[in-house]
Amino acid sequence: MVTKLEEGGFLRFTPVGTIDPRTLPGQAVEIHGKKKLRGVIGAAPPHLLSAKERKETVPLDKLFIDPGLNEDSVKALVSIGDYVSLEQKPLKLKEGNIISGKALDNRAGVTALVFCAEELNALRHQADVCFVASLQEEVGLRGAMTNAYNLEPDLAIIIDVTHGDGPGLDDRSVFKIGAGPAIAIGPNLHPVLTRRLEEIAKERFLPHQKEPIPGHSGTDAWAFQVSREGIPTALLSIPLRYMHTAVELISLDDLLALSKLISYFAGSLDRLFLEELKNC
Amino acid sequence: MLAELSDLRGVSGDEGIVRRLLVEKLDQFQSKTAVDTMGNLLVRKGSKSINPRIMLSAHMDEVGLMVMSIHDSGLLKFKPVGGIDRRVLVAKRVRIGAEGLPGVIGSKPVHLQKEGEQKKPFDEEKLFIDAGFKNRSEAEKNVQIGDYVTFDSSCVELGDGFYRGKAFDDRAGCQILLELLLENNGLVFDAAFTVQEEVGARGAAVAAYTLQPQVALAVETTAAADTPETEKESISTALGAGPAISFMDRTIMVSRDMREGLVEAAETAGVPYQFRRFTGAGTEAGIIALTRDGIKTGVVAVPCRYIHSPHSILQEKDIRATVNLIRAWLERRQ
Repeated sequence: MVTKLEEGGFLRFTPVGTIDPRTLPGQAVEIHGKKKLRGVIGAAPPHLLSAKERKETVPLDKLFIDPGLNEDSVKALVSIGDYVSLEQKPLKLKEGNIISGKALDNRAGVTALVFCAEELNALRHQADVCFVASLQEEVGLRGAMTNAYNLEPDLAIIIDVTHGDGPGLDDRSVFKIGAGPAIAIGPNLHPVLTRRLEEIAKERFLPHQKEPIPGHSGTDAWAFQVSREGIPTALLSIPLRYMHTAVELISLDDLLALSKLISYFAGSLDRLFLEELKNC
Repeated sequence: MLAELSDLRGVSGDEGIVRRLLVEKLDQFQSKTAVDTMGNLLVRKGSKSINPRIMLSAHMDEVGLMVMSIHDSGLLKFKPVGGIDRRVLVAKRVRIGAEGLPGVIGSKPVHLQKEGEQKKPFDEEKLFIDAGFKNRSEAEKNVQIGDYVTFDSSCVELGDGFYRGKAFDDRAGCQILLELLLENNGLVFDAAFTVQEEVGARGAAVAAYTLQPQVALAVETTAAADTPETEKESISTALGAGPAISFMDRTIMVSRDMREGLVEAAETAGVPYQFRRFTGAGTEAGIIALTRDGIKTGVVAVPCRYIHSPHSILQEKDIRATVNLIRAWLERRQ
């Protein structure tokens, strides 16, 4: 978010959500001012850098956006408080079913919901299914809080992303890309509901992985679980590499398997299962 | 035209695609065009014999990366070709090899980092390109060791005559030479579109030897730091202030009469100019000046912010002013 207009037409900014400042120098951005502007987060050229500077991170408060406009134009078009997003169109990579882009966390999840809704058109299901595209998750699960209260569901399945594998990462908390959605297990998640999802994945031969989460899941599931008198909640996640950068990467196969899994689960729901949920 | 040139993928040692476009544009010079063994494109304009002979040079190559090895996981290790600050590579998209396969340079997600980890930049040897291959054999089907890698970004106009793109250094120079060649100005000069400037001005040495000029002008793109966090005394050059004339850089001491000749040309033609307030970093002027028994050489450069990163920014009017300055300079010499 824009915090200051500097002399020369440059902008200072503050992050909305968590961003590693090391991913920002040289990053293209879109400034959502009176009209959409493009810019770049400035990076000093190597020619002008001292050896010491190269060994340091440029902290967020020293970074700036260059909209590449005269100062007068910037003043006319940009105000403090304007949002700025990373600029990167999604793209399919050569092999497999891999795509890369910004905001796959969690537009990938929203996409899975859309697929699921389409699939449910062709499936017989007794339960009413509500789809929620929630907001303000990145600043503290706020949209989920009011939604869970408002909809008062009998159970909830949260769809999000989890960390994909990569060198140098702790293998306790990363999951293989393309090996199926991760079904979360732990105090945040309802054991009976979670077990049912796993059973359905097995019955339908859908690839899946188990994601143990010892506490806060960092997802909307945390808010849903304790809404009103408590909501049985499960969490399904698409493994995603390089989270919160412009080059997030997922396998579409995982996304599709995830949406199938929710569809089959929704199709299998009946009153009896709601009783079973109480036996935990 | 600038967009077309800047979007071409031509890292040092792999400039063929840039040269082919230039050859196409310079079709009318067919009989006066030569390509040497290193890949420099040499073009002679005008048939009159003038003394001294003049050479203008601009380099076709851009900085990039090279694939060094393929990991079992299918990830690619790389090294920079030319000077790149590794810190601008993190979380950027790249294009690999002749076909331009997309890939990304990822980084450890912020959620999995330990306290204080962000204070230190990522180690260059721990960065890798992820093109989504599931293992080494899938990667080997698509990528070869030694493949060139470029930034993946396209040139766009931002407004007010500002442009953003990846390889203005030195496709802006290529465009200036191209314009001076194509316009009907009656001037006589040799143009050298050179290779491998970013790895040590390799091409210019050979081009200058072949063309044997008495006077040479390197037409470059130079760092502008008229940005926040830079003290006013250290801004090197500023956008919109016209071409930058050099006193010296790491490779050359520009002779006084060369420098003054450029200033006089600018003043006569009413073209804005600035001096390059920075004496580090090199250009091909240095090696040209030392060719054969020595060549009197100067440097004129278009100011450009964030060079050697995926997105540099320049202003069109500085290119225009540079064309006008060089034209005026040539006119005064013939």
